[in-house]
Amino acid sequence: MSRETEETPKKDRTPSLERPSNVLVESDASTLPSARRGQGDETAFVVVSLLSKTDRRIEALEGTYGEPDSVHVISVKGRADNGYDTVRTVSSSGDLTGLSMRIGEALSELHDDDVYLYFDDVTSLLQYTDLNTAYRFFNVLTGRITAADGVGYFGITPKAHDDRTVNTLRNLFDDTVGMS
Amino acid sequence: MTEVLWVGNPHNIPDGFAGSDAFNVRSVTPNRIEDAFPADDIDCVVYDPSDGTDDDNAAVLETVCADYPELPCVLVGNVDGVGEGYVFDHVPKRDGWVDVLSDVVRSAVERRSHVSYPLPDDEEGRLTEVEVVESLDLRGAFDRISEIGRYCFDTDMCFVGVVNDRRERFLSCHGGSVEELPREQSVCAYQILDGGVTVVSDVLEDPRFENRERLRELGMRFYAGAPLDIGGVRVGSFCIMDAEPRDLDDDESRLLRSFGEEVAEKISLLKELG
Repeated sequence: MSRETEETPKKDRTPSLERPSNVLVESDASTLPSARRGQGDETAFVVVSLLSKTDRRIEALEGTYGEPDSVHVISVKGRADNGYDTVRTVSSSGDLTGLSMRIGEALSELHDDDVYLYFDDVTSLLQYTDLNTAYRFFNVLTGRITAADGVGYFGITPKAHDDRTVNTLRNLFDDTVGMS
Repeated sequence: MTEVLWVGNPHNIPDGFAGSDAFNVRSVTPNRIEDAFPADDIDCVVYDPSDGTDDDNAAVLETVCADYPELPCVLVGNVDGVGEGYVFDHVPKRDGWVDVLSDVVRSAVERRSHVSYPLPDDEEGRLTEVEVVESLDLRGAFDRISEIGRYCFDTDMCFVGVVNDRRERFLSCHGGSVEELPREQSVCAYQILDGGVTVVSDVLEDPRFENRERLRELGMRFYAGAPLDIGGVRVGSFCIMDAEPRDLDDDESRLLRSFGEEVAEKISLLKELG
């Protein structure tokens, strides 16, 4: 996939949300609710892939927004994520410094585009850091996405956490999908 | 006006940023970073590491991100190799970066995007009310009711706390000598989100309070708090705490709520009297 690719976006197959910026998504959800922007020069996907499911997350985004002009991946060093417009790496799933840097780079580079970001996933990050630090990290990231008028989807496996953790994190998001 | 501390070479501050009507920018070099703190009037730090060493980078990030984690920090450059645990915004210097930086600083300050706990929906109005309450000089006004509360619930400590933007200040604390806590270390920061009585049976088992060092120092295991509703917002809490985990039954919960209402009524009355 490259910026030169021209495809007519597929028709939305999922319900539309009323302009949310950040959505907490149950990780097994295969479809994402649309929050289409349409103001940018191009459409860009950013997938932050702490798991090895990059293609599946891109497919989920394509199912909602059609084929993008570019795909940018941020993954853990050593994982085989090739063939995208840019691939940036961090040293581990808990490398908050690296994630802050690489996500900031991607969002700045795509400043003029409609950006749809998938963070995969919250549960993995919580294995490496405490809830408070994770909350701060996602608070900064969701704020950045809102400031860029982008849309962020954040995968989570709710059963892996107690209710207090999930309910605390919920406060950061405009909507949730597939979660009771 | 947003007060910005530029950490780095002052000659690198772009005109479009320093000259903005929205920002008042002052600067400090990385090797003098500690001279700039503590400073309650700083709203955001922008760190330009372009002239700094790895040691400078580590010192700045440790001072800002670790010691003042609620202060928004925006990095405009590369700091690879300083460790994995820092959280910040990042705006690389590329075409249009000054506009992006301005947007990011504005948004980070408005949204308070570096705090590690949820904020109430009506936080702005709540803080306005808190400011009025804090201006009343109520320190000590609730010593007697705190003493009665501690006796009634048979707990180690009973206190009345008001939660402002960055701290919880104790108007009264019976059984301890705590005057204030950083908001991020305060259980009441969560209590004010709750319309009813909040019970934390064992703080050590609750992921929301993991690594809260001040709570460990206080020996807090059990916490229960009732809201202080003043002018339709929750300015703080009437609380009990104990060094042993325990629960609160329904009668105790109702009683704690009554204590909270009693204190809130007195504050409202004192507020009317000026």
